[in-house]
Amino acid sequence: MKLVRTLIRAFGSYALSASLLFLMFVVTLLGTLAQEHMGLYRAQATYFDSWFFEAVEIDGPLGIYMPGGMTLMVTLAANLFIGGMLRVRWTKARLGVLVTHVGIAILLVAGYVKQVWAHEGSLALYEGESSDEFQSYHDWEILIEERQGPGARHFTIHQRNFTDARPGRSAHLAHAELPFELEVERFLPNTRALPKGPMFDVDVPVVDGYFLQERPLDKEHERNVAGVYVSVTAAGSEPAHGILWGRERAPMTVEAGGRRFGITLRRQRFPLPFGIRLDEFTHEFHPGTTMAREYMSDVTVFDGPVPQKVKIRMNEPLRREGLVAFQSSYGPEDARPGERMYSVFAIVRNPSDQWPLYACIVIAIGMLMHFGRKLFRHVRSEVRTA
Amino acid sequence: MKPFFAALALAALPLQIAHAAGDDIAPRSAPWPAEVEAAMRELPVMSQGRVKPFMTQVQYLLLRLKEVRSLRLPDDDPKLGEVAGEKLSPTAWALDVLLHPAQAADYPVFRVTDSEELDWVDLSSIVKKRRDSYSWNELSPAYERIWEFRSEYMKIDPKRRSRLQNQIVDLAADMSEYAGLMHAFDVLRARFPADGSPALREVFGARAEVRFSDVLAVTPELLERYSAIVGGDSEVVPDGEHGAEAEAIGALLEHAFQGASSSGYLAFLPPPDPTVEEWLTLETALLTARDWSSEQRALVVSAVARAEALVDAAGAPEALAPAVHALSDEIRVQALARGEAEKVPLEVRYLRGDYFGKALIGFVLAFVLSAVLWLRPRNRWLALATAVATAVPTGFLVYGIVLRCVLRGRPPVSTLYETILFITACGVLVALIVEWIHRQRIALSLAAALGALGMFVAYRFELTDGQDTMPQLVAVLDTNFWLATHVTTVTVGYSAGLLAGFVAYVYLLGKLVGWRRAEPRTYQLLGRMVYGVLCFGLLFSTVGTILGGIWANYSWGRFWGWDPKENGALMIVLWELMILHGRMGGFWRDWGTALLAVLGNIVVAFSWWGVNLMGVGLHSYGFTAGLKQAVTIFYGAQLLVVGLGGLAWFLERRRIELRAQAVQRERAASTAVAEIAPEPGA
Repeated sequence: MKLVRTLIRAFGSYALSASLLFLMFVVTLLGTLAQEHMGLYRAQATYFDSWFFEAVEIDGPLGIYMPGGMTLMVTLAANLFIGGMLRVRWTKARLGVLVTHVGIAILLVAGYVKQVWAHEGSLALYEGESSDEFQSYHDWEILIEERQGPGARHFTIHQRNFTDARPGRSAHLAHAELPFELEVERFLPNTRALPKGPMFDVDVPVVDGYFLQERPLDKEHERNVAGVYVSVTAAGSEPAHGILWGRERAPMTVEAGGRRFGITLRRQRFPLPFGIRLDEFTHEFHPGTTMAREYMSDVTVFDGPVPQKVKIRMNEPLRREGLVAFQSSYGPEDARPGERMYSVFAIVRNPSDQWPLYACIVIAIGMLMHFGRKLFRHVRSEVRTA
Repeated sequence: MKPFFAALALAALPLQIAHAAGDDIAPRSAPWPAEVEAAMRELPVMSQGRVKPFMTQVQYLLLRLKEVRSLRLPDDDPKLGEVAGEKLSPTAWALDVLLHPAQAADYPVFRVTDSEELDWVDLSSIVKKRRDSYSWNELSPAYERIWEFRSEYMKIDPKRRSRLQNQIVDLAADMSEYAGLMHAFDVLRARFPADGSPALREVFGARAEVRFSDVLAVTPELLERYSAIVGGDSEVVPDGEHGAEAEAIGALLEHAFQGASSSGYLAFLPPPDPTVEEWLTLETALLTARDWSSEQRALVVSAVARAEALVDAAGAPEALAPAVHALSDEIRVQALARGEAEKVPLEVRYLRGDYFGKALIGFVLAFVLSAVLWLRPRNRWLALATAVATAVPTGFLVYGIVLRCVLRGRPPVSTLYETILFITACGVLVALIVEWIHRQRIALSLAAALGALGMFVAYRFELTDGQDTMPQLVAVLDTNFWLATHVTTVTVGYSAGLLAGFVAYVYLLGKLVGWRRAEPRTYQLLGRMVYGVLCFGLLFSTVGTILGGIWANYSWGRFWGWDPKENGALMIVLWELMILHGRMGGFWRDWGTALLAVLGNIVVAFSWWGVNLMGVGLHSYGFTAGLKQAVTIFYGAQLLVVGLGGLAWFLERRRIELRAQAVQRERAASTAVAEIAPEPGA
């Protein structure tokens, strides 16, 4: 019991708050500076989405580690809850502080909900094209499609199932309804599929004259194109080797148990709860300049019996069924007037979409109460002294 | 029409712009009449996507070239003749460049920061001092070489270019812009022979020569006649009499087009078609003339003819004022009919008012007065004078910001330049409120110092950046709601963070020099001021930062993306929260709060400027380099103050200890005395 009390006291202390805030400051600074050389996505993964990171690298297995954003956020949440809401004296003078802390707690919870339950990705459509799914920016999946037959269906395998695959630690993937086993032998986050010429050797397998050339990770993470080496083993036959590459459109075909399958590696797809068609994309420049004044997509949304015409533009996204579609970019960049354009939408499904707004209002009210009260009393005492 | 001009554009020879035009114009001998300058200032033009006064366009050109707001011609240059020693406003200078190009080509307007640049392009013979200004005539022999180097260097990533390479890239751009202004009216001076063929005589009457406006007036007719002979889109001119006709028409149009092709710098013709937004230069006017109705064409032709009259008046001073008025009025009327240029006179008033320059002088004066007031604190007149001297520049500053809001139709902050103005204004106003509460004259002096510093930074920024401070905004910023909410709150937060740091300066440096040591209440108050301003800043920084996230979520679908600018704002919030929580926990009191508040200045400066210097550079290299240096110096200054503050703390601790020891010793001594003192009556 004494231990619990000590723990509660420690977790609710000002010393912990000040230290955590300082550490968060340092981590934010490091993560900001690191973006210059490692790009945003990797800096975020290293500093902010991590539990610990190596702050000072030393040759060899050791290093000096610092708590990452996750550790700090979770500890801060505990500190906020225990120190800022439970242990704080519930007096009139403290009401503002309490309200502020509740606001910050809403913000932290919103962040957690987003981290766990939100999906985000993009959807690119040429004028006249329509779609009812969007794709992830970063995550890949293997798609196994049955090509024919009355029971034709498809299976997807998320990247997390094979992201660590490497020689000696391949990932075995099987499904009761599939007549074969898929083995991912190696996953490469950024690659190019190249024909193997006679003049050079490579240290990766060559399949049908092609190999995957590993490339350094791009700073812009969505530019990385993944690739995997796979082998497919059907009962009673030799394994068939293959390469799946993110840019390859034609699937690897497999016949097993009298059924035909196509296997591809693609960015993870999410279904849209409605269909969307790009009717027209327009962009305007400030006269005589190349500076965009506005870009805008006229789309038709198929949701229910009557299709609806909607405009999506900068600062005016489409919000529907818990999903938001934003005007993100367009192309081709050097399009001539009249050329067929495409428009790219960022698509987000975030259950805590509006929570930061509520948090902001609560925090503002709390701070105004607290600081306003202090200022009022201070001014009153100053006036009295004068 | 299109094929004809397209073929011409392809056939056009590379422009010979390295020479100065108008060699035969008599040089200007008397200063420009005030009235001429005034009318020219307000001539509406379009540049960078915005209709603005001619003054704005040329003022920033002069800033880019020479980093000056007016041009003082040297006294000792014989080439300058009667204008030697004259001080020219940007408009007067631009009038010279437009109307007396040969004369203006001797004005030293190109600032060369390092004479090595000139050695590099084989101009060593003209080098004066290491850093000096040169004229078009001095530099133009190397014009082509400079451009060759530029095309080479442009292939290199700007961050990897050497300083010299960047300077040459900039010089090439400067010279090309200058050439643009110098040649903008060339075609208006030209006379085209018009009696070469019966068809031309038919169109132009019996005139031997015609002007550009005459050609523009009949361009569709000429093109029709040309097509009638040549037929359709063909470029093959038939033989015989008809062929000669076609060739004469073709030659005239080609001359006009060639002449107009160097006029691209000045878009001063409102398009007669109300659906077209982009204003016309003489070149684009010729290219689109066939698309207009005859009434529309008459409008443009009339404006061009007035510009020709102005060019002619360059040699006839008495005709100048009417000519420039006629042009300026004509353009303004046409623009107003399109619903444009309404704010041009107001913008000229804003530019000429130079409210921020006046505020700078006012704040410096106020600071000096407040310093004197410290020496003579009981002088009530001096106190009043200081208060007035602070209020007046504050008024200028606020008025200037309000004028900008009216001119742009936007909330006060949408560019980096405007953050400086707004942050200064907020800092000064908050300091004045603090002064009103405490009446210690400390915040009053700080308001003046802060105002002077902020206005100086704004002044330097405008000078070094050399760009119109009212640019058009990119699509994502085009939202007055978020500019008014997120941007203003977050900048108020910056402002308060800095003000807290500066109040902390007074605390730390005052302690160091022993100022008012006998009045602990002063320091109590200073400590409270730092604390209060920090709280105020925290409120705005927190709400502003979250609002930024809400805007990002609203526009891009993510609340927080760990982008450097977002992180910068978060760092301010975290830092201030840390100070306040540590203070609440009793880990530090006034001393620690003051020291940390000064370090907070570094955090604010990093968020405000530092992150902009990371990654993608701003505008040009010189600007970024200068800014980087300034920001580094600022960081260094804060560390210095923290060091001095730390020393002051150490000294005070020591003094207290020594005093305690002395008291102890005294007490011990008195006890000892008491012990050996004989008992009374013993």
